[in-house]
Amino acid sequence: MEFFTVGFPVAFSLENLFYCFFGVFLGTFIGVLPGIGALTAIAMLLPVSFYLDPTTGIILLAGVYYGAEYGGSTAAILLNLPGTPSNAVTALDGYPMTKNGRAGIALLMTSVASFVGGSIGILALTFLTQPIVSLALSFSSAEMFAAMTLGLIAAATIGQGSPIKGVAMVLVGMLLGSIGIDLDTGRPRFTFGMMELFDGVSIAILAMGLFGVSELIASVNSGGSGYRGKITLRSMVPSREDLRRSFFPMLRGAGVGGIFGPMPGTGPSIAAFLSYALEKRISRRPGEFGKGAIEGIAAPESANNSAVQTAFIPTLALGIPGSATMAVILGALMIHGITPGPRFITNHPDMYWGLIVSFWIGNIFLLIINIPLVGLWVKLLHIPYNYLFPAIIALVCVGAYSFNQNPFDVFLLLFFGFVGYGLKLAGFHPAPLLIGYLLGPMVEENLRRALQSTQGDFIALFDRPITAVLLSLSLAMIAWMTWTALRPLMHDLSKRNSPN
Amino acid sequence: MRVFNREVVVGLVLLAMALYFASTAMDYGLGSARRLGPGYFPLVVAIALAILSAIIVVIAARRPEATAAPPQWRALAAIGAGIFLFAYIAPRYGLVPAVAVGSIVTAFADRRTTAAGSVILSGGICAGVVAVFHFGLGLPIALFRGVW
Repeated sequence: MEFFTVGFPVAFSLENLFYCFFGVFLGTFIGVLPGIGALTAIAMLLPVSFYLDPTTGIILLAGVYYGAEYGGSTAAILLNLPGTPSNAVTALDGYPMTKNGRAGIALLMTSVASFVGGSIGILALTFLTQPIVSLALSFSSAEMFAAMTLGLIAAATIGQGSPIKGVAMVLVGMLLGSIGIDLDTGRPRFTFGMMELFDGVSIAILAMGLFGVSELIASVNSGGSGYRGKITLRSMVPSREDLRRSFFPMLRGAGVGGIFGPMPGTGPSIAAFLSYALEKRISRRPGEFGKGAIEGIAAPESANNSAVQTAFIPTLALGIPGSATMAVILGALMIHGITPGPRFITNHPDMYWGLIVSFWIGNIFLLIINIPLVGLWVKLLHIPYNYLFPAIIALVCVGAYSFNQNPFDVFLLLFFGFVGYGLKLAGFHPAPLLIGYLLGPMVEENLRRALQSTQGDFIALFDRPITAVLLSLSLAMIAWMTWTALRPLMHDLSKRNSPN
Repeated sequence: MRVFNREVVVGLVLLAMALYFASTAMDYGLGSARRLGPGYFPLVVAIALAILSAIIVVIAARRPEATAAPPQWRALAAIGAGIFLFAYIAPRYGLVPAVAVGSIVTAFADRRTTAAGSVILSGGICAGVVAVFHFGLGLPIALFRGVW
């Protein structure tokens, strides 16, 4: 009921409607362009969102996030270049469809699949969040500490790349997060004697540097050739056969997305990949996959949109972000003075329900701007990249400078840009760093409170059943990570020690 | 076997960072288990990072570097210089000169950029920034400063 009574008035205010539309439009724009991901766009808009009402700001940032999932399929289908990582799978069958002259149908079906996946994801978000909140409200700081630890370790070990590097990045993030005045004792930590660091490193600066600046450095000269064809509305009409073959893959995709969206570390890319693998396995025509099978675009596009919406479940219910993008959105909330956590929905029902209603509005906007306006997005692929990136750099610089009108923030942005690019070159993904940065201080705070209540007894943290399970899972993941990291080393050693 | 590769370099930097944070955290006071001091948590995290980065260095030094993208020196230099100039100019001469100069320099990160093209582009970006931040969001930053 609150959906209508609380959510509608918030989401349908003129300002929120405008920013919802602006967000999804910009998200589609960013998604269509290969090379810039949703995270970069959200980091870029973070300074802008500070000037808005908190609800409006989050509606805008979230709109960019799910809007990018819609737009990302366009370049994947037409150019074989995924607009965002989670659309990479879509290119496997989407690009062959273009070569078979079925680009229009592929673009239409991905929009429809995105809408189906998004809708099912929002339903899951609406109905699953409350039970999780009621469970989490009974959590003491020991359980919150355990849940956050598990979230951190899972985000680092399951994601892309080597688990050990992921965990190292999380730890670096936690150290960066401890910069600034210690809330408990008032002692400044790791400020290198700089006044500007007393309030800590701003998440906006960190995210814009690590993702915005470094991603632009990496992608400036990698631009490919544009798509020269034209898409007419007539060419988009699918046959009855296309619709029939896409129906169940879309539903299954939404289910896969709903499972992997809320889990830390997995997110839309893994959901899309797994749903593609699932369809290929259960299909009666597995040979058609990779040659333009419509199931191969319907399932992953539904899965990634469902995952994007359900990623908000742990973020809003527990205050634990599963991905770097969610960490940035949580960071935006915290800058407005809103504490994420189990009490968020009780304390800010207008924000929670307004956000959910805005997701529906945004998805409907997306359906409208993606199907009739598809020609516009195709034209967008003709814009040379060299017109865009100086504009993005300027936006990021002005955004960073606008916080305190202090050039220090811009230099810090540049520093983190170089750091992010260096990490990228060496095969480290900076995303877990951001999650560690955001969760680190919360983990510390909950650990301190938990130890106060157990009178300093570490073993007593394992006494409560939920804590015991969560912490044991964390330990198991660390053990697994160590094993996978050391296995090649052991292999080398045993070879050397053997007689030959 | 090449011992010195990018992964080793990053691993060593992380190791140095971990050691610095660990030694600094010791000075902050570890407190007691019942009441953790400001240094306790960073120390634990820094020690964990030191161990992991040491493992990363050892593993990376023992195997050949994975084929990675070559560094984009041109983009690195142009974007770095552009942002630096923005930060230098903005507090002295105002937002518009900073964006103008920063954009012109940044534009040369792309191999195809021409001098005329970068100037025109920079003009457009200045107009956009003024429209969005000054008129749209009402940001209280001086557009021009000092000279006038």
